[in-house]
Amino acid sequence: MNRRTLRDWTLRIGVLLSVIGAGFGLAHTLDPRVSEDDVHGMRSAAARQAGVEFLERYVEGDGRVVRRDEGNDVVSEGQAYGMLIAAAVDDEARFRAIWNWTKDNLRREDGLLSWRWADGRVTDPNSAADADLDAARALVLAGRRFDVPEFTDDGKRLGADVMRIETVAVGATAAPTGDVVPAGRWLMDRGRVLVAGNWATAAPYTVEPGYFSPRAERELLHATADRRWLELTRAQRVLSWQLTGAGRLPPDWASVTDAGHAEPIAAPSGGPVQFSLDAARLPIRFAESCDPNDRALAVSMRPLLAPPGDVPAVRNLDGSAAGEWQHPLALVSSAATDAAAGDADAAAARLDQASALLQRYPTYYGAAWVALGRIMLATDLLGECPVRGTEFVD
Amino acid sequence: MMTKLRLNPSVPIVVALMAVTAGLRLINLAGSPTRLDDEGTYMAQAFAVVQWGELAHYTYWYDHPPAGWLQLALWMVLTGPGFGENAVAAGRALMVLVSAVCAGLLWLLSRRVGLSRWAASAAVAIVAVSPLAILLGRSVYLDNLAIAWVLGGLVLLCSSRQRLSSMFGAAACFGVAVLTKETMLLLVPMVAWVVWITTVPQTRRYALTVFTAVFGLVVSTYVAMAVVRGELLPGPGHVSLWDGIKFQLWQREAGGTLGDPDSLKRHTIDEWLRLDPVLPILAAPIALTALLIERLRPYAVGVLLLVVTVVRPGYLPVPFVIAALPLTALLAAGLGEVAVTRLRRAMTRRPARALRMRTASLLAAAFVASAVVALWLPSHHTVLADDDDESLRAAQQWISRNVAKQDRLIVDDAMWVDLVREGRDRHNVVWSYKVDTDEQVQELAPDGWADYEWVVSTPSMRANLPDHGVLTDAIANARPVATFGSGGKKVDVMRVDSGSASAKPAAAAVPAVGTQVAAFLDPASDPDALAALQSRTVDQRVVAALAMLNATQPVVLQSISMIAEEQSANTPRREFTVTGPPDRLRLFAATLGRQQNPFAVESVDLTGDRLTVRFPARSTDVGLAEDVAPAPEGPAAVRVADVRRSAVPDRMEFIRVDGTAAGSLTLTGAPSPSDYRAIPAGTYVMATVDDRTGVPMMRQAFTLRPGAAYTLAMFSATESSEVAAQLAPDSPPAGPSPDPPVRLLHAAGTTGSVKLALAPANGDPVMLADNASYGLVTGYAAQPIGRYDAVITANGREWRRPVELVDGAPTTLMLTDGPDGPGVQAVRDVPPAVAPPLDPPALTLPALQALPEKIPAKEAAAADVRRQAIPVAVCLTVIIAAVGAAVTARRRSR
Repeated sequence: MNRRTLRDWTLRIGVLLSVIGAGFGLAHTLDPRVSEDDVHGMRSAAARQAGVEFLERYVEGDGRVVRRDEGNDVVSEGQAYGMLIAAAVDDEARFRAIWNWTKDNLRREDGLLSWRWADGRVTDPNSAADADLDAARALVLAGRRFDVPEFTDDGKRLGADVMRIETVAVGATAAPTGDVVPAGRWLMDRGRVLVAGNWATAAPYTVEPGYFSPRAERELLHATADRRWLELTRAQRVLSWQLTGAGRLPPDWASVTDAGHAEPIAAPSGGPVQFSLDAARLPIRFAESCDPNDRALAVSMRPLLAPPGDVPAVRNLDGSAAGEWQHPLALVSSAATDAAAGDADAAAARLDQASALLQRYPTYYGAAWVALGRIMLATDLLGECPVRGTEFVD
Repeated sequence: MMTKLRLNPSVPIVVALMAVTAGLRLINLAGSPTRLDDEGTYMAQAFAVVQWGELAHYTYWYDHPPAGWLQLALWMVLTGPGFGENAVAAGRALMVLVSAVCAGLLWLLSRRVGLSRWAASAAVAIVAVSPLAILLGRSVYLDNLAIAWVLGGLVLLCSSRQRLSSMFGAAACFGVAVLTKETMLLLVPMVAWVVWITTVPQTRRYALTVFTAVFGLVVSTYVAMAVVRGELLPGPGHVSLWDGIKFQLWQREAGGTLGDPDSLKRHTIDEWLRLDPVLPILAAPIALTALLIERLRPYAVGVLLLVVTVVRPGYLPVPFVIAALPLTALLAAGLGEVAVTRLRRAMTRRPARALRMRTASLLAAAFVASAVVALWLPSHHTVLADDDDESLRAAQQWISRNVAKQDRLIVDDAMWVDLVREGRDRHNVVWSYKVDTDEQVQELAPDGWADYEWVVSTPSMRANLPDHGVLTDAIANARPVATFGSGGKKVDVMRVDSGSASAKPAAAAVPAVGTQVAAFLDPASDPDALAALQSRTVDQRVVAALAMLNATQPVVLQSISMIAEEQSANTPRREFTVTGPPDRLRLFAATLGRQQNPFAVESVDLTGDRLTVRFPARSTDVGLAEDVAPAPEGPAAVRVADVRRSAVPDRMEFIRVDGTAAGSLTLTGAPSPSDYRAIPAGTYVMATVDDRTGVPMMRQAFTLRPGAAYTLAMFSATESSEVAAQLAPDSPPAGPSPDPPVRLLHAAGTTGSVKLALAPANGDPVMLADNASYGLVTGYAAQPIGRYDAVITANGREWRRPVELVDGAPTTLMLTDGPDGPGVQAVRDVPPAVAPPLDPPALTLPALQALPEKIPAKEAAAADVRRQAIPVAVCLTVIIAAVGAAVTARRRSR
C-alpha cells in the first residue's frame, strides 16, 4: 500500500468516524431522557449554586461572613460555615480569605475561636464548640482538596485544641452509686462528649446536641489518628439516644453528668425546653455520617420531623408544633431524616422547599443551612464515604 | 458422482435471528422489568385454572377473554410449579419462546410480502434488538401471545399456494388472537385487506366467506361461554359479558391526553420513549411513507390504526405498543429496501455520480445507525443489566420469613401466586385491586382495613391508590416495618395497626436496660456493639437473651447487626453475634434454639468461635420497652399464680439484667397464688426451667418498682406447650380508697369467655368484666365492703358464687375451673411487712445437643420430570426444525 492510498484510507476512516461521532453526539444532545447520573449532576449543581450564592451574599472581600440580618456581626460559626462551603465548591481564594480573617481576628490564645465579633472587635471571647469543630474539619478537607499542607496543619492543631479544651470524659465501666430505679442512667463506656464551649467544662456539662458531628470527628480521626475522636462519636451517639427516640426529639440544650446521663435543659439564657434551630442540626449531621449507626438516629426522628404538611421551625420535644413559624433549616432537618432513610427523592423535594422558603424570606442562617444541607445530604462535595462504611476506621 | 445437501440459505439466518431474539430476552429475564401487577394477574389467573379449575383467582368479570391465560395455564402444566425463579419468571420464559417464534414468523411474513433476505433480516433484527421490544416482549403480556397468532395468520394468508386450508388456518389464528387480547380487533381492516389482495378474484368471495365464518365461529365461543354461564347480560348477583365490554369501551378511566404531561396516557408514552426513543416516534412517519408502496399498504394501515388509537382520547395500556412493533419494523425494512433499490437505479443511470452517491448514502446510513445505537445503548443497559426486581424479590423473601402464614396481607398481584404456593390461604393473600372492588373480598373483611395485618406497598399500588376506601385506610393506618429499594423502586412491607397488641410496632429496648446489660458483658466485647446496646435500636429479645446468657457464662458480644432494609423503617435490630470457646457457644446455641414464643429464634448460626442469633421480625413487647420514672431504692414483693392448664414440674428463675444475684421460685401448679416474696427492685428477665430438661425458657421481662407488690400470673398460651406470663401490680393506680378495689383474674381455662358481675344482697349487680377470656387480669374497680354473689355467665349458663369483701384491701377474684362449673376465690393483694426472700438462684445451661438448623434450607424441589423434560423438549424442537429445514434443501451434484 503506497502512501497516497494509506492517506486516502485514513481520510475515509476519519470521515466515517466523524460521522459516527456526530450521530452519537447529536443523539446524546437531543435525548430527553434523564439518567440517575443526570439527577446526581443536577443535585450537585444545585448544591454548588446554593453554596456560591451564600458565599457571594454573606462573605466580604476580607473574609468576614457577615450576619446581615442579625446586626451585621460576625460569629465563629458563620466563619466555619463559610469555610466548609468554600471547600465544598472548590473556592480556594474565598476559603483562604475566610480562614485568614478568622485566624487574625477570632483566634484565642488557647487556639480556639472567639465566638462573636462586631464593630471591629471581639465582643464575646468565649468559644462555640461547633464552630471550632466545623472549622477544623474544613481546614483538614481544604488541605487535602487544595493541596495546601498549612491548612491541614492548622486543622489538626485546631482539632487538638477542641479535643483538649472542649471535650470532657464521661461514662464509667461500673454502675455509679445511686444508679437504682431505673438503673442504667449512665454511659457504659470510657467516652467523651463535646461541650458547648470553653465555658462549659464543669460537671454537669452543658452541651448542644446539634454540635455533635460524626463526619467532622471522623475527618479528624483520620487526620490525627487520635482514637479519642472515635470514643467521642460513639459516646455522643449513645447520649443522643438517651435524649431522643420513642416519640421524642432531642432538645436544643442538654446537661450531661460525669457518669454519662443526658437530660434536656433550657438554654442558658432561659426559655422553654424545645427542639428548634439549634437541635435541628443534629439530624443533618447524623444523616451525613458514613456510619449507619449514626444514620439510624436520624431515621428514628423521621416520623416526627417528616410527616406530610407544614414543617414548623420550633417543636416541643414530643414533636408537636410550638408555633407556626417556619424556617429553611427545619425543612433541611426533615430532608435529613428522609435522606438517612434512603429516600433521596423525598429529601430532594424537601430541600427544594427549603430553597423556596429561603427565596421568600432570605436569612443568613437559612442560606447557610440550605447550602450545607444540599452539600451534606445530596452530594459528595465534602468527601465520599468509604464503600464499606466505617469498617476501616477500626 | 458426489452429492451434497445445500441448506436453504435463509435457514441459518433465521435461526441466528431467532437465537439473538431469544438470547437478548433471556438475559436478565427475572431482573428487568420488575414484576408487574398485570403479569402477576395473568399468572394468577392461569394458576386458578390449573389449581382450582376456575377462570380467575377472583370473580371472573369478562375484563379480557380468557384464551391468553389458558395458554399460560397450559405452559404452567407443562413446566410445573418449580419452574423459574418465581411464577412471573416462569411466564416470562414462555414469552421468550413466543418472541423467538414471532421472529421466525416476521421473517416469513417479510419474505412473503416480497422483501429480500437482507430486508427481512433487518425487520427481524430491529425487533430483536429494540430495548422496548426486548422489555415488553419478555413481559407476561397477553399482547405477546396475541401478536404471535396475528403474525401466524398473516403468514398463512400470504402463502403463495393460496390453499383453502391456509385461509382456514389464518382465520382461526386471527380468532384466537382476538380471544387472547381483544385489542387485536383493531387490526381487522388490515387483515381484511390482506385477505382481499392475497386471493384471486375467482375465489375471493368464497375465501372471504370461509375466513369470516371461521373467524366468527372462533370468536363466538367467547359469547357462547357467557351464555352458558348465564352471564351474557347484566343481572342481579352476577357479572356479565356486556358489563365487561362496557367497562373496556366506555367506563374505563380515560387516561388523559397526550398534551397533558401529568396524564396517565402521557406517562405510558414517556415510558415507551424512555426505553426506545426511536421506534415509537418513527412509527407514524414510517407508516405514512409506506402507504406509497403497494405491497406494504395494508400493514401501513394497520400501524396507522394503532397510532390513531394511541392519539385518540381514551385509556392506553402499556403493552398496546407490542402489536405495532413488528409491523413497524416490517415497514421500515420495506422502505429501506425500496430506498436502496432506487439509489442503485440512480447510480446505474448516472455512473459518474455513483461514487459520490454511494459515499453520501453510506455516511448517512452510518450517521443514522450511530444515532440509533446511541439512543438505544442506555436502555440496553437498563434492560440487560439492571436488577429492577431486586426490591420486590427481597420484600417477598422477607415476607416468607417473617410474616405468619395465617396473617392476612394486601399485596401486588406480582407476588400473589408465589405467596399462595408457599402455603398461605388464598383468602389471606389479597390482591390490592380487589380490596375495594370485589364483593366477595369485602365480605371476608367485614371490619374493613382492620381485618388486614399487612400491606405490601409497591410503586404500582401507590400509583393506583384510590382516593378513599379500604386499601387507602389500611395504608393510612400502617407503618413500614421493612423498606426495600428507594424512589421508584421502593417496596414497603407495612404492618397495619388495628389497635391490637400484636399489631403494634416492635419497640426497641430502652437504653437504660441496655446499659445495665452492657455493663455486665465481658470486657472483651466490641465497643460499638456495647454502644448499640445502649441505643434505642435493639430488639427487646436480644437484650433479654444477652442478659440470660450472661447470667450463666461470660458473653463476649461482637456485634448487634443492623438489617439495612429494616433500619430505614426504624425496626429494632434483631440479630447479634457473640464469640467465645466453641463449647460455650454450643450451650448458648442449644438453649436459644429451644426457646418458644415470644423468644423463639429465627436462626442460630454457629460457625467456629462465632454464634449469630436472629429473632424473627414479628415480635411482641416482652417488657423492656418502657422508660421508668426514677424512684428510691428498696425491695418489691412478688407472688406467682400458676394457672396453666396443665401443671409442669418446673421452677421460675428471676434474672436481673444488671447481673446482680436474683433468685428462683418453685412452681407448684396450684392455682392459688403463692406467698409474697421479697425481691430487689429492678429489671428482670423471667425464665421457667423444666425440672426434666433443665432448659431455661425465657418468658417475660419486667421492671419491679421499690415498695410495690405484684402478682405474676402464668397462663398457658394458645399453643399448649407455651407459657404466657403477665405481671400485674397489686394496687390500684389511683391509690388507697375506703372501698376495697376488686379485680378479676380469669384462670378458668376450660370455661371460656365469661361475664362477671357482683350482686349485693339488696341492690343491682355491678358488672366487673364482660367477655373476659382466660388469661385476662382486669384493672381494679372499687366496691363497697359486704357480701356479694359473684354472678358468672358463660356459654349461656349462669353460676352464683358467694364472695365477701371484708376490708379496704385490694382483692383479686380468681376465676378457676371446678367440677360443677367455674369457682371464684377472693384473694387479698396485700404483702406482709417483711416478705421472705426468693430461693437462691440456680440458673445453668444444660449440656444439650444443638438443634438442627432453625431455618431449613429451601426445600429440595420434588422430582418433577417436567423440569428435565422442558430442556429436552426445547432441544427436540430445535432438532426437528433443523431436520425440517434440511428436508427443504436441494440435492445437488457437483
